[in-house]
Amino acid sequence: MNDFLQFFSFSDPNVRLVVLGTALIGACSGSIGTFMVLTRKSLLGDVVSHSILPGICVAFILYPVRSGIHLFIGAMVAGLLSGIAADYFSRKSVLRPDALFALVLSVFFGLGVMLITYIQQNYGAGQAGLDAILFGKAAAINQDDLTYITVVAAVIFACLILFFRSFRMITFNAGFAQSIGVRVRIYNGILSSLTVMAVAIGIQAVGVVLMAALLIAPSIVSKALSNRLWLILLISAFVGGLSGLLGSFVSYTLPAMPTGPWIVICLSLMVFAVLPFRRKFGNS
Amino acid sequence: MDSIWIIVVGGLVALNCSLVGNLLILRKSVMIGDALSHAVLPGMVMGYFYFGDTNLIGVLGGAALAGLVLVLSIEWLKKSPLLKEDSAIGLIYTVLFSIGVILVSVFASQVHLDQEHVLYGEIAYVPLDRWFMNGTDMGPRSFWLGLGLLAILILVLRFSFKGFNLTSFDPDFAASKGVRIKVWNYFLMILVTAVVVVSFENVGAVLVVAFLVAPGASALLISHRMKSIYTLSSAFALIIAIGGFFLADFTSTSISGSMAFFSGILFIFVWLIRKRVRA
Repeated sequence: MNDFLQFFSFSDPNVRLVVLGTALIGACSGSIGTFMVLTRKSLLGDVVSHSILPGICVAFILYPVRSGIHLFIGAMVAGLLSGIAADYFSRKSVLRPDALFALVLSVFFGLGVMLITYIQQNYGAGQAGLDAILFGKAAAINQDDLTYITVVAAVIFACLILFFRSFRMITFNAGFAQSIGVRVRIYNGILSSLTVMAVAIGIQAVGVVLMAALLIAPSIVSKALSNRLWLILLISAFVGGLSGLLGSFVSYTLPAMPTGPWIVICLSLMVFAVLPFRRKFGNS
Repeated sequence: MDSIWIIVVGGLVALNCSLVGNLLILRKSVMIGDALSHAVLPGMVMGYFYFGDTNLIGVLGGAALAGLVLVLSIEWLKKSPLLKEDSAIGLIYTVLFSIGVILVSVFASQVHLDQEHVLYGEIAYVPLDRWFMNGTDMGPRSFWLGLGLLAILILVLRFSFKGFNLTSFDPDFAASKGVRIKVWNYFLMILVTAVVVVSFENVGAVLVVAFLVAPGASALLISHRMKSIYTLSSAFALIIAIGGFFLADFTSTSISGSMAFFSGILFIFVWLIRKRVRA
């Protein structure tokens, strides 16, 4: 109970930092994930989040500091590469997207695991702080991290507001959008890049393995409550942020626990709570 | 000798996975295999906890139960207008896996699993966990498990070859002939769960996926006949196990990780030569 009061009074500057970081992370993933769920591509988020592992490892090997913008850049590069690979092979071969998703995911992750063992041998087991990347460690967010998390979140929200109409159109009726001259491929590209960005900052809180939940679950909750896209996006962002807050509380009180699983449990409880409801708000 | 055991066990894991993986690929449900490979974790941990490390039945039973929970809850969630299949899979498997990871951290002292172990296993320890029969050393336990499973799989697939073909390629036609698609589907899920559980300890959750999909996907690039897909994918599975082991040996990194990575190299190689070969 003491921990609870101490945490939620936000008097500790470190707590404020972590809470702000995870809430922003949750809000980004929640809102971006909504588009992935609506276009039935939510497992692509899973692929991207597993695939950024080797990118982070390479960035760490090039510049061995455990947190910072270079890890984010490494994550972005690997995430985009995996998305491009999955897209390329599924357009050019007989194989279905699901098979290629699984293939890309496991190959990238396999490379990541190789690199992790390499790092553990060459930089000492103490640098196994990289473990936090697998299952998340919200409490490890520091001032530098918060700076780039904020910048990335600002970019994501700005793009969501700017391109809202185009995103809505390509999500619900890509054929129509194409026919009236909307550049569907470009906007899809932007949307995918934003997803990779959201995932790349999200691993701080939930880790690469469970990132998919942070993309998927908030939008399910909000879809239960509304059927207007802008409202769905807002609720998703809120739900994502709330789960981030709860996750950082767990990470604060139980430092040995990985944060990711707890965030996922919080999210799933919210999903099961709203499943019986159906669209109480909005004009349905 | 240890290296040989590791290659043999890796090969068995890869073979078992590729046999059921082919069917998953044809049925467009590879991601269910991925989900299963994560979802069995809480069941396994509970099995370890209640029945002890050495009691195989408890662990396998717990894992099978968790797999059942996954399949049934995906079916159930899909009925809600809020979730499509992909989001149902993504949601349920992360929840089950999260429960598993939390259990692992809570019971860390009682269970010989740790957080990384569940992701990428530790095939290098395979030769250490030996099976003694009447005091005689019979070799690693994983070897006999894998071999037994392989025998069962070959037998089962031998007799259900036609049924799986029919329900994979043309489910509508099969349904019109009175074939019970759902039953076949559950049957496949049981096989996949069995394979996943046995492979999990050696290669971990994510890398089971590599073995499920890579051999079959590579085989599908150059072959369109079921029998040759089985033959080719089995050959690829063995190549991945052997190549991956030597890659790991050469770079002195994680063996299961490098097997998964090697499966990507193999896929790219087959991709590049696919126009010159037809099997």
